[in-house]
Amino acid sequence: MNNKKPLPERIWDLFSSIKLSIYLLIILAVLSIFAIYLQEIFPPQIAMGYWEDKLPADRLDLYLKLGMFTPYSSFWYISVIVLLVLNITVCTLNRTKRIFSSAFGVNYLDKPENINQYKNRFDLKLKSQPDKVLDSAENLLKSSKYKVSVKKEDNKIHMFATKLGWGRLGAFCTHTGLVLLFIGGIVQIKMGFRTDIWAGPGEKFTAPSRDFQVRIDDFRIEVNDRGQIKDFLCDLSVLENNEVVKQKMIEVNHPMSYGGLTFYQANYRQSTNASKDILISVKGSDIDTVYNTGLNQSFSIGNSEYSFKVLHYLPHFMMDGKRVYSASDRPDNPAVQIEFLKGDSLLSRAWSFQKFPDMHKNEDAPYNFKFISFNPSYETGLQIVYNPGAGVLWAGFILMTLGIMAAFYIIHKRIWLIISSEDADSPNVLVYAAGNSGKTSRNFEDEFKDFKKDLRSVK
Amino acid sequence: MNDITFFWIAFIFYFISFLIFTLYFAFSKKAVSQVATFSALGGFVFHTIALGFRWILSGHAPFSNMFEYMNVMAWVSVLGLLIIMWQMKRPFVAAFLSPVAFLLMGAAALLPKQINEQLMPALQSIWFNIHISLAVISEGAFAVAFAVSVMYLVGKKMNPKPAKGSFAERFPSLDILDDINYRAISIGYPLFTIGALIAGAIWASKAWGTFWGWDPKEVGALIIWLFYTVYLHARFVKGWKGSKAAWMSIIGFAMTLLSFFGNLVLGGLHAYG
Repeated sequence: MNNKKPLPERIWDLFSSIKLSIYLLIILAVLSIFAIYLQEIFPPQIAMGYWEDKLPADRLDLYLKLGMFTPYSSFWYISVIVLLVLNITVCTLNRTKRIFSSAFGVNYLDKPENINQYKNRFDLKLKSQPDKVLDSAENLLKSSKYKVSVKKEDNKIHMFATKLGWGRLGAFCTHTGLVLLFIGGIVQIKMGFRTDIWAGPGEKFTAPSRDFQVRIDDFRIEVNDRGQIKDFLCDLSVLENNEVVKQKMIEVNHPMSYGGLTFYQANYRQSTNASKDILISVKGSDIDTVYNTGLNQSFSIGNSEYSFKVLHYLPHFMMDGKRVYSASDRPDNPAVQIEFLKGDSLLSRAWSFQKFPDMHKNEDAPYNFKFISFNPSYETGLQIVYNPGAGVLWAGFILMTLGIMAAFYIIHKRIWLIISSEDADSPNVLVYAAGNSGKTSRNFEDEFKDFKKDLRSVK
Repeated sequence: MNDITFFWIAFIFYFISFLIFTLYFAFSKKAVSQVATFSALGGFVFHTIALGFRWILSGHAPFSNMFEYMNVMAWVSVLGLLIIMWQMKRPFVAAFLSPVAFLLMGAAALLPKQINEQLMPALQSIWFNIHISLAVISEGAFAVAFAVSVMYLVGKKMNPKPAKGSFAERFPSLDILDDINYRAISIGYPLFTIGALIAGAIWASKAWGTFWGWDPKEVGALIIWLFYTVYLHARFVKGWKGSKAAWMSIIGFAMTLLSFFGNLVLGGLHAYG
């Protein structure tokens, strides 16, 4: 005869086991170490194009399939997480009834021999009466904040005292919280989004997937007296149908919420439109002036037919053969390209460097240009996040926090007593006691010993 | 005179305590252990002054770079061991305290010590204090569990019936050491979960818009958390106590240090130097 349980039941039992949890946790830890390693050899900031050049096509294909470039969203990583969450769910569901009845239920010891199941136990013979002993015991325990229940049966008094039973819900809350985090995470991944926007002051953009617009009214960088960046902030206006409906200053750690989206001050950079206050000195035989220019603004030089125009600005000028580009958006080598014309004919287009004013000086030219300074304009880097799972995630965090505090620091304590007369005409009372605490607690052992001592002095 | 002066004074006191305790192993004279204990206490006083001074000089809690973090972690570990020493009324525990203090301070000493008067914008938040203080206290607790676990394993190898007045006789009982190991983890684990992971995630969502970025430090913290979670469940289910628990605490703390120093190499959002 086949005594094995049906398969669904066996799977349920498997997922209800803590042993499985231990294995899954270990596997997840090992996979996480492996994932860190993968992210070191395949750094996420390197574009796919680079690997397409370096690796043969079939190897690249294999790596992509195995999720080597994105380990945390790979099938092998996700499946372990899913198994763990299923395991937690089944474990919790299976134990919920037991946890609640243990935490809040009332039960009594049947027989004196039952105390032998417990590590904390004693038996006493007192010269008193059962009711008096009961009163004393009740008072002692109630003064230690126990909740006491009494049952009288077969000439015996059964007592049950319990304290901080709700502490048993700690583990329950922690595990439920974890499941909520998982659910919140899934909602975020599937339904949420995150985009980056760069914009300069005065610019506006339409919020992704929404009807309203956001305008950058101002962007400021605050510097301390040592020249170190203290803060960077943005004044934003929200526009609906071209009317301002909300205004808020945002900075790092203080985002703005509107329309279900959150706008974060994430970053900033120097804009390549250094369009204000570009100071160019023009020197010639008849002239030595500084012009305050902007990009693509033509200026005639004195009364001559010569003119010039600043075409481009680069914060970090670099040249690679014939290619000219900006190596970064930091002003490490500011340069402007100046177009020099006589009437309509182009004389030169040359780069002038703020840090190297004498470079490219042409002694024969009628005029020489020097790039003196400019007023940098900045763009703010905003991160726009839609996080529909945020509520669930917060619930998860709160449950986990409360749960873990309760699990470790709120210890459920229980004490059982059986009180009876030794026999009908004896002046002696027999007391059998047992105690149990949620976590083997030295404090409880001492408490229990004190209780015995106090009970002994009952008259 | 700046805070580093006091740091070095504390370091020297811890080192002297460590040296004298090794003498104690040889000579087992009570006076020797008392001098060593006082040296460790002296070290702690100067260590506290060093940290307080640094807090005042920089204008923020000493959490902004790896030197500060390690420094505070060493301080929390010493405090934890001093509390145990006081509760158990056994100055002897200081024998294992001074090597821990000395080693952690030594590790801190290798790191760049500049004061960052200006915290970068991302660090200017109340979560800076919450996340890092809870994380550093929890890791200090893991360090205490580590020290006590080493004591346990050493104790296990010793003569069960030691000669009167010997080093071995003054050793705390293995049961008590195992209990302290568990209690240290009971403090460290919840604080680590709430402080390093949950508070970290909440702060990340406020500063960077995302609760979890899978950067090496975050995953490193997750791995440490998974490890101690295994330990707690194994203790609960398989009754892992004694030597097994001691080894888990030792490995766990080694992982904590590895994650901390690994950060120097691996970069990511947490590479604050």
